[in-house]
Amino acid sequence: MILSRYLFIGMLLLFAIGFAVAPLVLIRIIAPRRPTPHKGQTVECGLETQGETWIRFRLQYYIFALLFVVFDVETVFLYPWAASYVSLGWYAFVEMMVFLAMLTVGLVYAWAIGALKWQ
Amino acid sequence: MPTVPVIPSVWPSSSEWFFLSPVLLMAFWGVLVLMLDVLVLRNRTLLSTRAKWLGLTSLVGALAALGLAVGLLWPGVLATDVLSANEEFFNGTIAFDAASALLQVVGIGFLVLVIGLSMTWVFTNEQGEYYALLFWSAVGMILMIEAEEFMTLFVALETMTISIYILTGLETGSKRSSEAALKYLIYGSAASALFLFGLSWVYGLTGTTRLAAVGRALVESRTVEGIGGQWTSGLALLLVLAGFGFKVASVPFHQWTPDVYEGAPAPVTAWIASGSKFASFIAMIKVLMLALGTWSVDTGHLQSPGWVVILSILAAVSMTYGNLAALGQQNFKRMLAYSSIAHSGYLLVGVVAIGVSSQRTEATGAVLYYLCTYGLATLGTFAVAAWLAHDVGSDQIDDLNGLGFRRPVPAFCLAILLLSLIGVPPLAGFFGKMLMFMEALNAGGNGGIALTWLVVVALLNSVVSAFYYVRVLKALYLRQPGPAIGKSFPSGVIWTLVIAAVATVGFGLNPTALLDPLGGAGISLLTSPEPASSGRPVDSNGITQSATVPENPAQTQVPVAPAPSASAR
Amino acid sequence: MSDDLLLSLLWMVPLGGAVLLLLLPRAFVGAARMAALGVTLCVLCLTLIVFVRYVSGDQAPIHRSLADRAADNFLNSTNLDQTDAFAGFLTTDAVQVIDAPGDLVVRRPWIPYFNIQYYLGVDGINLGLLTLTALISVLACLASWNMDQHQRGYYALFLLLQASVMGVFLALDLFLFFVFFEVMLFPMYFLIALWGGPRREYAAIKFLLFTLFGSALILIAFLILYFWSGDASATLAKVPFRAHSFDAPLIAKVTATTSYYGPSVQGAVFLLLLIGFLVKLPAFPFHTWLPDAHVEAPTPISMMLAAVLLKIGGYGLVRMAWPLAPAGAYSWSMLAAALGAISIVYGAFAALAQTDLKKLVAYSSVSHMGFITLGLSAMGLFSSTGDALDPRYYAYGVVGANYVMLAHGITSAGLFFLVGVIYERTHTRDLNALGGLMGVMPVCGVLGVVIFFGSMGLPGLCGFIGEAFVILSEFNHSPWIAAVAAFSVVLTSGYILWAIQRIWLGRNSTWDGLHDLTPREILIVLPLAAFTVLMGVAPQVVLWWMQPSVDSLVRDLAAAPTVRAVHETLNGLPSSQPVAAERPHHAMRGAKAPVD
Repeated sequence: MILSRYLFIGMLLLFAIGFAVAPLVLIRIIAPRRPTPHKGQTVECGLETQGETWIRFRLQYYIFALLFVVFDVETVFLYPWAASYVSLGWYAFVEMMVFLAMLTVGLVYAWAIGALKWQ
Repeated sequence: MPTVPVIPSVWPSSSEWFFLSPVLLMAFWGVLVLMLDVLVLRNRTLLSTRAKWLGLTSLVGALAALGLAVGLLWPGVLATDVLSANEEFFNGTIAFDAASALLQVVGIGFLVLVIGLSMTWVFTNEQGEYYALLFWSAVGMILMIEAEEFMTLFVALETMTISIYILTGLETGSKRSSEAALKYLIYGSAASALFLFGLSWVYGLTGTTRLAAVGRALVESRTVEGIGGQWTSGLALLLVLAGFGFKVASVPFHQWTPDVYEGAPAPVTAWIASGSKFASFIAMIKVLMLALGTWSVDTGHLQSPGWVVILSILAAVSMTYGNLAALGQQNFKRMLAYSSIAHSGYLLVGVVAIGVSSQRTEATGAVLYYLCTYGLATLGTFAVAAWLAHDVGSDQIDDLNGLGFRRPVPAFCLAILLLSLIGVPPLAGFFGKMLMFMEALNAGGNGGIALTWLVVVALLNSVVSAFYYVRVLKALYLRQPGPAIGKSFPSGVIWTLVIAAVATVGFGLNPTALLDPLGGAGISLLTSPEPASSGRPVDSNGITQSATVPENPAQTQVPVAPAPSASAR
Repeated sequence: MSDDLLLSLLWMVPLGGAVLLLLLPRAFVGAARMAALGVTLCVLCLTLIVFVRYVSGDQAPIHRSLADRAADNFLNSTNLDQTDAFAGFLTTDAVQVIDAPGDLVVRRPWIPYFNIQYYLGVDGINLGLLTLTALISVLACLASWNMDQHQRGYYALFLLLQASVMGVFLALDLFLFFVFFEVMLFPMYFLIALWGGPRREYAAIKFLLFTLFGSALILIAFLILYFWSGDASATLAKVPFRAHSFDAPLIAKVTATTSYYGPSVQGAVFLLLLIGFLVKLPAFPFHTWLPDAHVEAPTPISMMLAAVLLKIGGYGLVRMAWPLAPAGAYSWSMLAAALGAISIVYGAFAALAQTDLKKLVAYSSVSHMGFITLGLSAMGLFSSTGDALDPRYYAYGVVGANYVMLAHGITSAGLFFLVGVIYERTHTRDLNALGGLMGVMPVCGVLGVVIFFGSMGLPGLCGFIGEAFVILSEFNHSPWIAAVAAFSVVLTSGYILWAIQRIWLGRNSTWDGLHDLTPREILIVLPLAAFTVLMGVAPQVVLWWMQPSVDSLVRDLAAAPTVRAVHETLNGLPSSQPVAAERPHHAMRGAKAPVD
């Protein structure tokens, strides 16, 4: 009983794994292998790498990234609310405003302590 | 297919908001303090001025919240029918009962004392953040106490803990503080993950996240096919216990305790040891009794002993380990940290007592009594630790030498608190221990001697604990005054000490004054709100009669309005 | 004055005094000792009022046993039937107090939910100890006259100590007893650790940990008694009792008349209480804290410790260990008697070996305290030919034990005071260095010799009576143990006479010019010497009010059905008890449905 219910998920899992693994295997099988020094170089977006790969990012990157994610998620919440705005009514409107206010406070805080200023 | 229950209104009523007003006020006040700092005071005033104003603002806010919470307790403020436990409050996610109303007063009371203590010194540049986080951790704490549902519980718990992680690391220029915060964060995240994983197992087994519904589903699962997974139940129980074990600092989840207690700014340590422990134990009692009550003993579903046995062992080990480890400490804060592990052990005896006692509500009252009085005693002792750390610049017990002669009042108060922690009658600590142990012996049905071994271990542990507490007493009264003694006591410390000592003596001489309301709170704490909307017949044990249909998660979890256009909140 | 107030004042007055002394302004520190003396004198007066009230008049409490008087005072709650003989109260409702005035029993609810009562009472057993405590406190207060270090703290702790000791002797509720018992530890700890000799801290912490360990055992025993739900195998009759009570007379009554507490649980309770109180007494294997504590404690505190605090152990045995678990006591009586005899002989031998005068007196205390254990465990309850109950000889033993407590209280206080006086003058306690003091301090010498002889057990002085009773009784129980104990008389004479010789006799020019006792010191020693003689030549002065209570205690204890059951098992006699077993019904507990 339970097995049959989860069968679909299992098949999906197998398919997903297969989807990722199949090209790799295929390349291994059919592609000709003629390595040259030029081909062996590390390629990153078509540019030659400079210095160490493991470099340290500025801490501020993370703060920016975090703020970005927060507002990204905010949008995710805003869409369904906006879509059913009429049926949800005033209460949901107030709640969403509270939610936005909280995020705004966060932004104001980040601004005020100078987290947004690139130093 | 059972009919979809109709929920009349998904929106909380005004009285529900009113009930939450202390929490809302604190959440708002945290924002206010933070904004006051970053927008007005920072970069304009000296750090000390800033600290003073922010501290005062915070104190006002906390006192206002305390006033609101006390006001809610006032007879007639909330209609009694509203305060009954059977009400659907915030759709059954939050307990709207006498226990919540009373315990939030205690929690906010702790907050007031901690804020008072924090105002005494300027130990961080992040003043606004510090007070805001104190408020928000208090919000998490109180919601955790009131939570009736796993998700609310978990979110509240994380609100509290994450705030405390940051608070731990806020001491400016202290490497130990940062180290402690990191340790706390890593251990704590792992424990939270385990806890959440355990909750998800429970959800998987029962199809609901409400404590009461989980409890009912587990009772029903004895008869319903497929739900009582064998090892899954045992694993779920262990995971949940691990999560709580970390929060309450019981062995073997205690490793963070000494470092965090030592490294964190002393007022924050006081807050962890009083407030966080208070809330965690209450949440633990609720989850274990309301949701996982069936698993208190092995009914053949667990593949492991029930939580009564597991917690008994944890209690015995925690007490013994904590006390023995404290024996060797020269550092006052570390000693208190280990002693706090030992006290977690005593409290776990109380939790076990709730599981076995024939008088569960009274046993709960006893544990709550111990939590309140222990919290106060801890606040007092950590106030002294804070004084040592900030005004003397040391954490050693030796630095308290001769305090009894130079500063008689604080030393005397500290002595009372330490005696109470040993469990000397007629102080509150003694009654707390005594009442919990008595309830542990009060098991119905099996001759009352089943847990005697645990109580014997606990009592012998109290004797061991006397040894290290007396070392502090010895430093206070038997040593020649050292250089530290010249430092005066700031009024924040004195106030905390005096309040704690007076409460310790007062509630010791007249324990009934505190026990009666807390016993009443125990009743409502162990009573879960019945889903008023489900309309199913409920028998006197609170077990839903229609046992043949397992609860559909969609019905309990998400209130669905009948109109197709309405969406879930 | 109502007896409620009277008995409460006995411990509240010193407690109040302690608080007042702490609040005393710095300017009046010099008045602290006067205030403390006033308080102790006030307590002494109150005790004498209690004494007079106990013994005088036709309706005086002396004519009725404590259990009967306690039964007249009971607590009634609205939803419980109070007609049963064993009714307790267990309720969160309002409790109604039924009080019979003038019978020296006080009963009030304290923590009603757990049936914990504020419950005090006086009978012949604790009356003597209360009086002794009040008297010794006054004398010890006088003996502290030269204490000039932290006077306020000293006298406050001293009064706190007195308050808790009075409370211990008064309490009839096991929980209340325990509270006072524990409270006593900390003033004592500080009194030794702050005002003691060079190794004071070691001695104080040793005292504290030993006693705490003992008290943990005592608490476990109390909790077992409290939570015991009836012995299924041994319950031979319907017992309308469901423990959940800390009421000592009530539990004693239950054990005396029913088999609710079976022999096995009584055995466990007895052993726990025995060890717990033997630590306090102290008796042989648990005595090591005593010499340290005595040597390090200042003189007045040594007086209190020897004269009063040790008696708490003895009193606990008399009031708790034996009556609450008679069958346990009966089955373990040989062990207890052996421990008593070993303590007597061991203490005497150890005393012989001492050169430190204070240690000698301390070990003599261990030796004398052995007589208490021995007297109580001389449980030759049944006639040697059969199973007829004949507790007469045992009553001698118990009377003897109680008498030893009072006599030792008088003499040991005197001895420690004299040791203090000698040390103050000569700055040594080394017996080999002393000698020849009779010549320079004749008054001290004469009074000292009287007290030393009293401690030795010279016929005609107080020590003799109790010890003679005890040994007499023990001969009826176990002649061998009695012989061993009697042998100790030789040892006791040995160390006492030798000590007298080494302190007072001979000639020693080192001590020329020492002044004799001051009037204050005479005032302290004289009453003690007088009591030593009085209690020796006229034991009836004490016995006439002590004996009735002891007799009723022994009568109840010996008649316990469980004691007979143990006796029959031990001697292979046929069981005389009915077979029909019935569980006790649990009506006492208000029917409270569990909430969950």
